[in-house]
Amino acid sequence: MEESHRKPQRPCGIMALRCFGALTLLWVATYFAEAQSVDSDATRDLTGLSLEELYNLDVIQLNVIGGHTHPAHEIMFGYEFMFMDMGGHLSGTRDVSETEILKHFPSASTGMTVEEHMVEVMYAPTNKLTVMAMLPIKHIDMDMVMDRFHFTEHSQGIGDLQILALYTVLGSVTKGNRLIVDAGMSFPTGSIDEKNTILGETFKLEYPMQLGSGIYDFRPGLTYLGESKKWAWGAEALTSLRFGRNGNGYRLGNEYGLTGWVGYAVTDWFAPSLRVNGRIWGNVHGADPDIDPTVDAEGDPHRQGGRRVDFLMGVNFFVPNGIFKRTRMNIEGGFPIYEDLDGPQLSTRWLISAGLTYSF
Amino acid sequence: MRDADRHLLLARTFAARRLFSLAALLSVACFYFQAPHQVSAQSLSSREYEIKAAYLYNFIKYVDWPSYGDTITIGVLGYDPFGTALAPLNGKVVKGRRLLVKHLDSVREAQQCQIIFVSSSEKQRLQDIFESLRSARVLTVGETQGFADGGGIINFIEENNKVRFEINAEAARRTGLNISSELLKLARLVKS
Repeated sequence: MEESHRKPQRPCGIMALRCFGALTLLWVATYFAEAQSVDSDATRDLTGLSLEELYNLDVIQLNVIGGHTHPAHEIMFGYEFMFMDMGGHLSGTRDVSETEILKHFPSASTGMTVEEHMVEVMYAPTNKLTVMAMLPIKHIDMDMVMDRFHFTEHSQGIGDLQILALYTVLGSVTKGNRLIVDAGMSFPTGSIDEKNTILGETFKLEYPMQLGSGIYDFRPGLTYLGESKKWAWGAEALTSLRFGRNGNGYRLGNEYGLTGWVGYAVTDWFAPSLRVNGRIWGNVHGADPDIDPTVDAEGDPHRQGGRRVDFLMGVNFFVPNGIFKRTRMNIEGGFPIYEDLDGPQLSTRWLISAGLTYSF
Repeated sequence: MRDADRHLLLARTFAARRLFSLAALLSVACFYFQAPHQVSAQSLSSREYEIKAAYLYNFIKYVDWPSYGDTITIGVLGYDPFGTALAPLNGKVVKGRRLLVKHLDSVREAQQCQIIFVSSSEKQRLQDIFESLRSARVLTVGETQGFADGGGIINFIEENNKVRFEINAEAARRTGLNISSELLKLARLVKS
């Protein structure tokens, strides 16, 4: 695919300016919140508590920056919302225009949004082991153009159920540094037979529009967590390994993710965070015979892979007392700082997520 | 300029801009994380030991000694895991007597205390410590497995993410201390 002229809507200078503005706002909020909580790190005098109150006090308190794993017998329910906006096309790291794509395919995508609602539950049978289950509900829209006719493809439903076990192999839930082995699996509960009817014609939707992988994915990983009184940092390598073929004769490419983050607890209820998330995903192996690879690039199994690094900023809130005690909320948003796609593929403009969890 | 050269120049310009943007982001991030860190350089203290310190304070209310002086002294024998958690106890008044926290260099000093916390660093010489304190009216408190079974009076244990304690009532009686039934009710009772 030939390169077209770079579009003016995604210059790096503007992205840097946006980031500068967001970080400055966060820094100002942090500074003032910090000023209001100068004693939050000092020794707490608990002598005013009765014997019964001390007897029922938790040693490890959930706080605004922890929460990756849980102390024994703790249960957590959570909900997470994720939204990703895609637009413009990349082939490798170079921009490609729709006009250029339409020279090679009869139709081209013009934009895409992926909305995901994830419900999750975590339980810790012991201090070292936390098990979790997550079920996503997806809502995907892709705008297309064909012979100057614009239309939108749409799919929605449950995605693949994921079950993960997190086992602490070094350190403990009470200590600052921990190494956790993640072992998990995703189950093919998401549909791989999503279809749309446009102008009376029913057709199978392209690979990115399908809701699941169609096979059992193995999800091994490794997580490092560090935590001091005010700071939390960590890194996680998580992969999705796929073997065989699904019922439609293909398998999605393997995925390899590496993410690193740092968060700072300004008070016991507020912590801003920064995260860098890198991801490599492969092309589709095999092909669904019902998806025509010549109609658009999204239907070509060899134009699905890519590499992307996202820069994300977040704010985390935690309720330490009261009726909503142990409720945690986080909002995180960002954009890619590097993207290299086996395209032409739609490029990610920005992404945002918000989560709410309750532990007891 | 040929098309290929122009493309190469464009690509280099954009790569340089991206690199510059990334450097700017990192600089801002460094500044952002540096400032709050400087503001919050305060002493650290573990919550576990804040709870244990408050327990030590409460134990005084539920234990009767045969005789008291003007002060009630809490001694820490061995490595001090409390950090700053015992500091709030110093100078408090319980049962009309002022509390004093001391770090002990020897078991002999412990004989002058009403309570001693025996650190887990002293695990290897627990029996020697108990032997030395046999005739003293001292409430021995530890956090080592087998502490109460071995002759200590109160031992902290962790259960379900909470600090609980064992009491060897027989050892307390031998020492001449009277432990209230309210304290015994919450404890796991052990025997020597």
